[in-house]
Amino acid sequence: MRIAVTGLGAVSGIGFGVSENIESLRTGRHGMGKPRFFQTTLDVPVSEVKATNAELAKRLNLNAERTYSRTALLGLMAAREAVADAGIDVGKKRVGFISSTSVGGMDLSEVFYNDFRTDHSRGRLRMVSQHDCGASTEFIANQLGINGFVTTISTACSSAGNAIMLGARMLKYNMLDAVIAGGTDALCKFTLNGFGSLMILDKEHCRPFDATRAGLNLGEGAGYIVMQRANETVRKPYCLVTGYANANDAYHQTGCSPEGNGAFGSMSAALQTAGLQPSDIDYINVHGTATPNNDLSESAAIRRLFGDRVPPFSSVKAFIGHTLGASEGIEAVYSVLSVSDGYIYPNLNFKSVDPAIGLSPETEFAEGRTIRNVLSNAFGFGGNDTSLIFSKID
Amino acid sequence: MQPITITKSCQLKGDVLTVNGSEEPFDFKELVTNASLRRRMSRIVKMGVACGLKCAEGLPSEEIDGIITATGLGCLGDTEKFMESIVVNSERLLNPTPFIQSTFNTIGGQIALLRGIHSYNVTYVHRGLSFESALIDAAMQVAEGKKNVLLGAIDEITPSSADIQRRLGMTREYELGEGANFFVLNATASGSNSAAVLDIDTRSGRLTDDELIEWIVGMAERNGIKTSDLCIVANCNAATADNIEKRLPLKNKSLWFKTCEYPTLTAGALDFAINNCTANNTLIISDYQHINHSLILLGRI
Amino acid sequence: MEELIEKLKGELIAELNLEEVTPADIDAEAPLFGDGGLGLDSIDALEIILILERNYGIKIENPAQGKEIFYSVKTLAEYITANQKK
Repeated sequence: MRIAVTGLGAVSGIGFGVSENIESLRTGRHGMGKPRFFQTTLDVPVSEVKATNAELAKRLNLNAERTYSRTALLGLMAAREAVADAGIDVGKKRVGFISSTSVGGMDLSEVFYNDFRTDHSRGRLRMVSQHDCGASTEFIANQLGINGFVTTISTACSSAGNAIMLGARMLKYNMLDAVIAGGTDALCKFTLNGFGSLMILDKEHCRPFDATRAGLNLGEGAGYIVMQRANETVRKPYCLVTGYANANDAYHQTGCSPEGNGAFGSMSAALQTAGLQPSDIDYINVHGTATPNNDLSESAAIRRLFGDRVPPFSSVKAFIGHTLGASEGIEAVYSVLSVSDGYIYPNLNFKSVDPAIGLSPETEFAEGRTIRNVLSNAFGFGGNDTSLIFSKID
Repeated sequence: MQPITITKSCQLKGDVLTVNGSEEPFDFKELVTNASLRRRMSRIVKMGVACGLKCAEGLPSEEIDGIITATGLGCLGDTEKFMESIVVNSERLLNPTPFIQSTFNTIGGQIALLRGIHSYNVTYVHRGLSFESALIDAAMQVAEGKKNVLLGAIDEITPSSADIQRRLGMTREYELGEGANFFVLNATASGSNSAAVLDIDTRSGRLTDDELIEWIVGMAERNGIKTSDLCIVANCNAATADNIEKRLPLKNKSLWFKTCEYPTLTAGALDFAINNCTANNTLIISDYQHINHSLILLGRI
Repeated sequence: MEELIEKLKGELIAELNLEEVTPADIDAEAPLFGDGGLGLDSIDALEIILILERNYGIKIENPAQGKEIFYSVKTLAEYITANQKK
């Protein structure tokens, strides 16, 4: 059974909506800057969505008087775009919504906590009632009018890849007729400090795969794709979802194995699901966070799988930052367009080959290329590695 | 959906660990021999990892084709510890351990790490339907030909979360609970516990009594089972349980399970049903905060 | 130096939450990381960086730099003695 992608939605530090995102990728406009929309004393670049919560609520026609978690607002923006793009009637068939997030409504909870910590009777409840990961998902599902299966996945930075994978499987088993899957995450003090405490934040603009790379930059946003069985679509689909797999590195709580065992496992298994050979892949949207460890490990896995015929690859993290639970949602949208429009995205800030890696990513935007299959990677804490494959419709 | 067999069930509540319904002594240090990992574990991680490892005991790592976990609220203790350190240390010199451990997939990841399990590993975090989502995924995994899937659910009470949930009015009916449950699922009917999951369905939002009865009858019908033959495990409040008994002619007396509330309590109800219901068909009716509902239909193989 | 070594042992036990380890169990010259010594790992290294900065005012920007410094309690003590500002 063939699963088609029929709708796309994305919001990130480089744009509201899919076309703004692509335009920024085309013109080399990244989203990094000093944190403006949340309070922190850390002086590191981040890729924020350039709007306050009130502005986001206004754009979404929501009552700006109410309190929304930024995670929910970003998610609604991208999910609504994806549904409109697919032209599906969510009220009619069995439409599911599978979202993912790494910290849910933490952006509000940490404000609540400032009052609560010294006196448990203090802190405004509306600031903590959206803390759990399911809250933003339920809010978005309600706003979209979805009454089918709704759930939330959280596996750190690979979350959205796993959400898309579940969606594809549920369509295959005829448990749903259409599914909106992806992820959303807002920047907050908690996450920024978390990555800071692990000493993997670069104080400069990050440089994936470069010899001088020194860590990642965080970002925020949301990305969703709509999937349907290929013979039931309303509009002409963008492409097919043919491969998906999750594997575990089982090496370290946060780091990846030098041989990239988990990444090799997820990429090989995704090829197997798709019934493809490594030589069928024309472009890899790598995880490429720009930490010394990730890029080295991921490239080791890529070399193991592709040998000396590594296809063109690049990381978009220097544009949008590492958007954690939203990462594979946004990057799946980019990957889908790569297949449908032949786009290859530039790996910003790459200057010199790391001798330990020995590979150079693509550095120029390209379009109109023949891209049969795109492999997209997302790796997370807990050794959680997910790979998806998007394929051209014959 | 093809029937999925549950061949082992483990539960950890307080210090009491049960395997297939019988209490078994355990030594955490023997279960987790890696001292570095062990000393960094918070209470919920210890609960989950101990229960999960005990459940996976005896299965070779390469025969575990999936680890699927569920948690409504995740590692709250570590989350608060890291939030507190951000405030107290003004965002400087923070110990990364509570941040690392606060991640929702910590328990699934640690079990994989400790046992060297490289297979599928996913965590569901959707309120009162976290465990149900995980169970649906596990059932698909088995249908996809996976050998054994380790399925677990974990939630903890912390003083702060208890205070917040009390203020949110979430403890009006029940006191908060916590616990860890793990199961081994596969397609075979071997093992001492051959309960099978025949069907599962979830709903969100308020349900009227009529809607609930209609839903139950519908599920029984589509599985070719008479409602009168069902043994009901009521993981819902007493009024709802009474109403079901009144409305449906049942041969077996319903078993009332619910005595506390937490998002993944359905996993406890499943353990209870597997180890206490002798009828051919058992239906677990769950309700979390009157918002999340699920039906799980079990059979005996 | 001896005094500092004993102090460091106590700090490591407390900060890293080393179970059932007493200062006497730690050989000042044995490797802290990997097999054969205390069996610490890279996350412990991040915590030791915090001990150095908090308690001794010594900053280590790059965790990779810590490898030789953190080899044993003794090398740690030597590094502190040579670099302490407080």
